[in-house]
Amino acid sequence: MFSRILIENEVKDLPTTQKILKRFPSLPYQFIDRIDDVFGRVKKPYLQKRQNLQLFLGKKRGQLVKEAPDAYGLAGEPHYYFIHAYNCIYECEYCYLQGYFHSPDIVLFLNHDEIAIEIQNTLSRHEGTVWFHAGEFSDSLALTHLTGELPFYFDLFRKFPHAKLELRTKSANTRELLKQTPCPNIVTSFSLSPQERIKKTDLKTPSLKHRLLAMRELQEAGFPLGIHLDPIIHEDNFEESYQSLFAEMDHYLDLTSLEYISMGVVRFTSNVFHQVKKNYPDSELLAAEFSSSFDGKVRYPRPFRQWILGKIRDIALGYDVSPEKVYLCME
Amino acid sequence: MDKTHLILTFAHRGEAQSFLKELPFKSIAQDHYQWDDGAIIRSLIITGEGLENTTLKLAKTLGDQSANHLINLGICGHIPRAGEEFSIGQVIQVRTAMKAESTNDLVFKSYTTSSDTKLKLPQADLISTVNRVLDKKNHAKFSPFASLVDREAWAIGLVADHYQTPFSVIKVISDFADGEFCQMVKDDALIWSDSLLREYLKWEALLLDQEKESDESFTQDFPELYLTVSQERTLSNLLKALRLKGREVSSLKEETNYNEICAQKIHPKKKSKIFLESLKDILNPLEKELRDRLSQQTKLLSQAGFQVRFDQGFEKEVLHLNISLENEEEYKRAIRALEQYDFKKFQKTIRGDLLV
Ligand code: SF4
Repeated sequence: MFSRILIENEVKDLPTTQKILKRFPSLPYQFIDRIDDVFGRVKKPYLQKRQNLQLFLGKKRGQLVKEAPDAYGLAGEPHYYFIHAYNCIYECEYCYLQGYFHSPDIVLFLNHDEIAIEIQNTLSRHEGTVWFHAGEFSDSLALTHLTGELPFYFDLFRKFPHAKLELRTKSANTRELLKQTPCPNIVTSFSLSPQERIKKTDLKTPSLKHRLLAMRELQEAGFPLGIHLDPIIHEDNFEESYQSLFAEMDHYLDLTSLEYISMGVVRFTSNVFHQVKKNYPDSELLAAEFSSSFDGKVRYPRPFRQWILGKIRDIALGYDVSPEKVYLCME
Repeated sequence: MDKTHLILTFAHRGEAQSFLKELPFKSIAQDHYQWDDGAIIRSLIITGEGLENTTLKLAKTLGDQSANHLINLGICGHIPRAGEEFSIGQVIQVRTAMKAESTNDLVFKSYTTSSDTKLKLPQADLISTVNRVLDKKNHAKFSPFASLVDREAWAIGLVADHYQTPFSVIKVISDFADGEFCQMVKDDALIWSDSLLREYLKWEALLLDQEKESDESFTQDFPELYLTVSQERTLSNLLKALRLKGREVSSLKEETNYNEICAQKIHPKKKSKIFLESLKDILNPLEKELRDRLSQQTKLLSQAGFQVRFDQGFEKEVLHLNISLENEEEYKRAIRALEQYDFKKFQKTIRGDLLV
């Protein structure tokens, strides 16, 4: 998976670093002073992640917890995200990370204790429920077997029941999660799409069936789950595709006990869309009926978005998902 | 530019010696050779060492005659690093070319080559330096970024980027960037030039194969159409997008009633326009549906003389109406049309209701 590990001198003796090095005994590694001295210093093409993906281990500096953009999660409650990693091992054609960093290399920040302090500081500024999202710049679960931070965050959030943690993922890597005792304020949310769409667009991600099997195991073990139907990509038979997606979801899961189902239609900043053209010139996304939208994003015109979301919401309600649990993301 | 034009650049004549000996290049100016085999023109340029020389020579050549592809061939130094340890004489394909003004000053702008995994050469990143790297002390600064160093490749990327021309770099490792350099270069130059020639010929065969594939003319499917340059571009984009959606030319002809459009006795440019519109409708069925609906809803307004416009992307529920009235009758007709207009229906449509 990785071609080389670059390790900040400051974290070289941490147990996680040692664990990762042990896990990849034949992988070459090198010590560096600061990740920022190397990562993204020179532009590295996104698709080099296929042949030459480097792993950086270090400390996140600067702001560790940030306010999430509007309409990020359930409305009416404050949302924050924290950054414990950059980049992702998967390769979704629409992924906004391809236009975000100057490098596709994976960075894992290991100073979770400092992130925890900032989470607590943020909490002290609020009274009611506050949401924290992990995985704004990465997948929250895909590498947890390497990084091992889950017990730390479970302990932390158990102490603050009014704080909610969302782990957002497309992976089926739930081994480490299943070792934890479920916590009512930690929601694992899976992004799902119809299998045909996953095959075409969500390159290298686990199949729908694998994700649903992993979700079933979690649900049976008592872990609170959420679902993101995001990004929804229109195709001629999209209603049928989403009908069968819901049928499959219903087969594996108890949909009525989900924490929420969020829905969002595919959208890009113009920079990311440019990257999609460059990186995936044969992607179906490039033949979609997008236009430049009010916020500068490339997306379907509003009537189509509303229509698509309306149709899928109706399908969800047909499965007895309560309307309050269905919300529209980034609309 | 009918023939394919490839530009090969070398810093030194020694690196190019096998090319000049084995291939029928003819000198056309100082340090400039050409071989035109009827289908392909290959220009071979000896740029001299260093980023400045390379930039100047190459920019001049490309300014005089555009090219389909640039390729830089030559020797480079190697700074072994974790996971990338090559040997002297090994041929490497460069992925990304960076530039360092000095050991502490890596320039952010880097250029990505059109490296091709089919070439089956090891790939690595390269830093072009202003001065030769002769001291092992500098290696630690460079090694987190790249394992190859030279003094030209970045300049090829710069010029290629300026002229929007793809470029490739193939290097043979001549030394370990530690000062043990000059004598060995002289001794092994012929062997290395041979290695470069061998890989170049493979590279060229791959490149020309790809060009042949992408050159297949789409217009040949529509010989009956007269297309302006901009219509040709539109057709090319539409066909590409429709192919991405899995649509075949034969079914598109049927769906657009292509033969009937061609048989119409109208201006040829108009025929092309109608055909292009039909393709657009097939590519964008939702937009067509919405447009048809809205034009149906605003028919009375248009008939009364209003020019009707909607918000771009239909983000706002706004209807822009424009009219010039010259007499009372026109005024009354306009008022009647406005009174009959169902604005709620318009709003519902924009909110995604009723669609399809
Ligand atoms: S899983 Fe998420 S972060 Fe990873 S590539 Fe896909 S969209 Fe990007």
